[in-house]
Amino acid sequence: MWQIITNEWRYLNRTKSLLVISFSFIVILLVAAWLGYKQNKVQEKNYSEAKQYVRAEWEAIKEMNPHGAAHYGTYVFKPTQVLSGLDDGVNAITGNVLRVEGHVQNEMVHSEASQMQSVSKFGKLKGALLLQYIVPLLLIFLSYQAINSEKQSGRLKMLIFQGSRLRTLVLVKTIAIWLYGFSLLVITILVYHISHSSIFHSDVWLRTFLLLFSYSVYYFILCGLTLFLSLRIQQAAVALTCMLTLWVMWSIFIPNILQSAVSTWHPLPSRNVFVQAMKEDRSKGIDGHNPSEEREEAFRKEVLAKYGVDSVEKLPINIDGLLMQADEEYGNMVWDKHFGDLRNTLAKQKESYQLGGIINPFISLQNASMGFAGSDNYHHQHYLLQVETYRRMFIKMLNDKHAFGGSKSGDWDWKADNAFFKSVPDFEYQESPIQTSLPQYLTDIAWLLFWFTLVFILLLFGTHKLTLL
Amino acid sequence: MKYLSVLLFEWKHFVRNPFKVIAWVLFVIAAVYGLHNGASLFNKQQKEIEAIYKKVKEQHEKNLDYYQQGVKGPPDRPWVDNTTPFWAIWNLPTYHIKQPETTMVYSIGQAEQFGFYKQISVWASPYDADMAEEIANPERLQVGTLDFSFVILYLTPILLLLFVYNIKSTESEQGFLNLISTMGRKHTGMVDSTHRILHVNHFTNTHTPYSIWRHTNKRYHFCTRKSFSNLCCLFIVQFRLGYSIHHYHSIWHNPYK
Repeated sequence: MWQIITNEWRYLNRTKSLLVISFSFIVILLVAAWLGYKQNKVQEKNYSEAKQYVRAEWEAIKEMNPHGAAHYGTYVFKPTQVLSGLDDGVNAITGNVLRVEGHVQNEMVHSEASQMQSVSKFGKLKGALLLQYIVPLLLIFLSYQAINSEKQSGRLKMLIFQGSRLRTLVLVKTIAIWLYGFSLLVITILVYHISHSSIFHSDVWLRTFLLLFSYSVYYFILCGLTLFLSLRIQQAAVALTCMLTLWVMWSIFIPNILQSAVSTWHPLPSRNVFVQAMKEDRSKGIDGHNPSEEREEAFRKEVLAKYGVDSVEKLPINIDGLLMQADEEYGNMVWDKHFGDLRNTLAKQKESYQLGGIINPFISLQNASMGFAGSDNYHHQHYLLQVETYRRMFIKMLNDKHAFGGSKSGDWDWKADNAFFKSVPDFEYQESPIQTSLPQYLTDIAWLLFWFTLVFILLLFGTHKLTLL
Repeated sequence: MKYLSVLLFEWKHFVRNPFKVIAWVLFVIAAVYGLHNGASLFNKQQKEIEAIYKKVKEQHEKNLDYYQQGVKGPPDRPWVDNTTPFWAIWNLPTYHIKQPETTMVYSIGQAEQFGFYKQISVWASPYDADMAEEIANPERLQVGTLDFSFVILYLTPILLLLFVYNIKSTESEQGFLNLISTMGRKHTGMVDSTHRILHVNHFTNTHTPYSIWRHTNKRYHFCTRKSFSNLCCLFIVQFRLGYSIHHYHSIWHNPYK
């Protein structure tokens, strides 16, 4: 067995064109890994600069009405994930700046994809682009060649006559080619990790290990399938055409078609309808700026009763702050309902899409890759939820200050001091550890393993009865 | 006659090769699907725009009604006074709309990355958060939408490669090529006529899905003068590209060079 592997590698070594291809490939992979690292660094720098700038502006507020400050708001930025230099996932599509203010929950605008045509078409040059699309292509050619050259030169028959078993031969050849793909994978990831010297903590390592695992399983599926087809199909060119068609189908057609299909199975509302529905739900509640409706009246009476006074002027606090907070909480309820529905629809879309792994392991690989790199929609939603929690805390602090800070009802000129603004904490994103998000990707891993077993069985039992003449 | 017979042989070569036929069928399906994707996005945007216009019209009529009835605004909102400029503008929804081009059917481009309407109010600014694009699954956008331009730009070359990769090699492998040249035929002439045939083939390749789609979707009349001329340009470019590829191929593999 070891002999076949070394022999195969010796063959790979002796093929000049392959050496050139491998060399240029490694260079491109390294450039991609390095660029990913560079881009991460630039983004981290921009991130911390922007964050500091916005924070400094906030802390520089000398005196301001708390509600004025709530309108003034602040910006939060999505930090880069350590592994997003390998697989950027949806980051380029979603953008990374979000404005936090009172009354409304904003959405991210000005994504990278909207600013660059090439990004929206291909995504950025990250390791994943090469590892998902190009390395498989190379592996298909190599695996095809591994059997075809033996077939054409008649060596295959000779080897069988000399007593080697076809089954073992094919299996070991698969492993030899797979090792080639695996080494490219390891080189890329190693270079990436060496350049990111500051990331030695267990979560990143676990994620890296899972990434490595899913890619290597996918590579094995491709190598095994190509070898099997080149053995089974008499005409060599047809086998290659088959595999190339499969590659196009797997990596371009099916993901595309399936994504469009799931978006019609679980339709998302249009923005216009969505905003209108939220507005309607919210207008049923009280509006902090136009306080004249029933809910507000009831709330006012409640507050008056609580403090045991008969008019707003006699209240020791500023009722406007309480009214605005009540409205804010009503708005949060509306947000939870509508955005919860949206998140549920997105989750359903994802689940249906993941099922596509049964016909296309590439889908599983892509999902797993994004997920383990922490850059898929699931992680993005996790981030958005944290921002919303922060927004609620942020606005509540301002409203409470407005209510209990010492001003009287109706006094919109009262100003809070600098110490208060400094005491409002800054947003800090807590990345979700892989253990909590792992159940999301079990389907993907399961399909990859299903395909792995399938190919393994094909190699074991589909080859031993072949006639080679 | 010479060209015609080569043409007929090449036709047989194509038809008897099931994988080439399957690839061609897949290509046509992809192209029709791409056109369908473009058309559905176009329709979706149109529908949305119509809904917005409808809403705006309703609001306008409501406001006019207030004037005719001699009231200042809705009875449950006494502070609204539509006779003052501020409230009149406030209650007059104004939208700025980016009307989708009919050519969007052929190429979606970045249409899904941007919003295509914006409400203009007294507070509106280019930095508004409602400039966000249409609600969509970011993972779907990340995979990308397969449109007609994708088919033309990326899948046509693959199809062309698939069609020509064994045009000559099968003949030389099976010994036909020498046979033909000993029969007095100029090899280059044959290769050249093969290429011409491939051009025709290529034209039908790109044109077939388009006409299939046109016939199944008679209700769309997208073939405006602009889109037609654009399409013609595409074909010409593809023609030249295809020709260069074949020509290069023939020089590279010319056994007599």
